[in-house]
Order: sequence, then structure tokens, then C-alpha cells
Amino acid sequence: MTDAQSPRRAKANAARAAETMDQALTWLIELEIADIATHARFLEWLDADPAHREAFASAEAVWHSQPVFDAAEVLAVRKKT
Amino acid sequence: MLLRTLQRMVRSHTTAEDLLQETYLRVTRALAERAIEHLEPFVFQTARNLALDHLRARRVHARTIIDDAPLSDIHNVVGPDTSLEDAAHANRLLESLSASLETLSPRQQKIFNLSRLHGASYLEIAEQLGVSTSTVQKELKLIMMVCLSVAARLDH
Repeated sequence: MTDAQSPRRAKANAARAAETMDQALTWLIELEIADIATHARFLEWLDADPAHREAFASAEAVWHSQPVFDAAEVLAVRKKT
Repeated sequence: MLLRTLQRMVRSHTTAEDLLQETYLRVTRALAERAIEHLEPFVFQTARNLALDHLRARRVHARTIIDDAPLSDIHNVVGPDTSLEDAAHANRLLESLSASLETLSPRQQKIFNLSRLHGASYLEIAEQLGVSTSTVQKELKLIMMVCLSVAARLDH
């Protein structure tokens, strides 16, 4: 069925995944101040590859989650005490 | 400032305005019941929670840009119908996050605070800290990766 990946193929895939996630994180940050044109570019990026959607979805799910917000609060409170 | 924060989160001006109204309603109601010592963070937190609830509701009920991925795979939603298991998971995530975030540098913690608690964009953070926007972007992405790693670890 699936062949084991050669080390070189695995490395290339990992590099591509890291690059995709870096792009997703950049988009997450940029979207906060994006104008319509930028938002359109984001949608193009999203459509370009299913891997883009997956990366963005998982990144957004965590970054916008309640536990992350709560952690920020906990951190802020701890620094005061 | 609050309206802009909400707008950034929900990406719709009308929704942001509705949420702003709801925020003020809730804050007023809360003030009627008790004195609130630190009003600004309370207002921000209320607004933020409303925005997050809105975003979660949108994900559950509407087919968003993420059509295919099952929600359970990509997002542990802690909402009004949260099971005990989901709540326990959220608590574990919070604990792990808090531990990891404590290891960040003071500047990174400040950036994290400004971003998540105060809804500041990377431009605003750069201006406030007197550093370049690219520095803030790099730091933010590093912090995000920490959060992602923590969340991924918990799921395995």
C-alpha cells in the first residue's frame, strides 16, 4: 500500500509542512488588519492547496481558543503577584 | 478601540457592532449587581468571550471555509453544551499552556499579553514596544508555535 518514505522525501515533506504552517501563521496575524485586497489574497492562498486550509484551520483553532485567552489572563495575574 | 478589536475577531462590522452593544448590556448588568474593580479588562474580557462564542457558533452551524475537516479533529470547542470531558481537556490545555508560556522571555510574554488580552495587532504592538513590525511578527509566530505544540502534544 504505502511505501515507507525515504529519509529525503520525509525531510522534504517536513520542510514543506513547516513552510505552509509559517504561511498560515503569517496570515493569521495579517488578517487582523487586512483590507479587502489582502483578504482576497488570503482566500487565494487558502484555495491554492488543501494543505493550506488544514494548516490555517488548526492554527486558528488553537490561537483563537478559550484556553489560550485564559492562559494570557493567568500569565497577567501571575506577573502582578 | 473595542469596536476595532471585535471587528478584527469577527471580521464583520455589523456583527462587531451587535457584539459591542451586547457587551455594554452585560457590563451594565454586572455593574448593577456588584462593584467591578478593574473595569477595562472586564469589558475587554466580556467582549472577547462574546466574540469567541459567536465564532464558535458560526463554525458549528455554518459551513465555513473549512468544509471538510471534522470539527473534533481541529478544534476542541468549549461552549455551552460542553461535556465534562471537553472541559477537562480545556483545563489540561490551559495548565500546559500556562507552564510553557512562563518560559517565554519577558518581551514575548508582553507581546502575548498585548495580542490576546488587549486585542492589539502586530502593528500596534510594534509601536507600543518600540520595535520593528517584523520583530513582532517573528515573536508572535514563535509564541503561536508554542501554543500549537502544546495543543498537539495533548492530543496524542
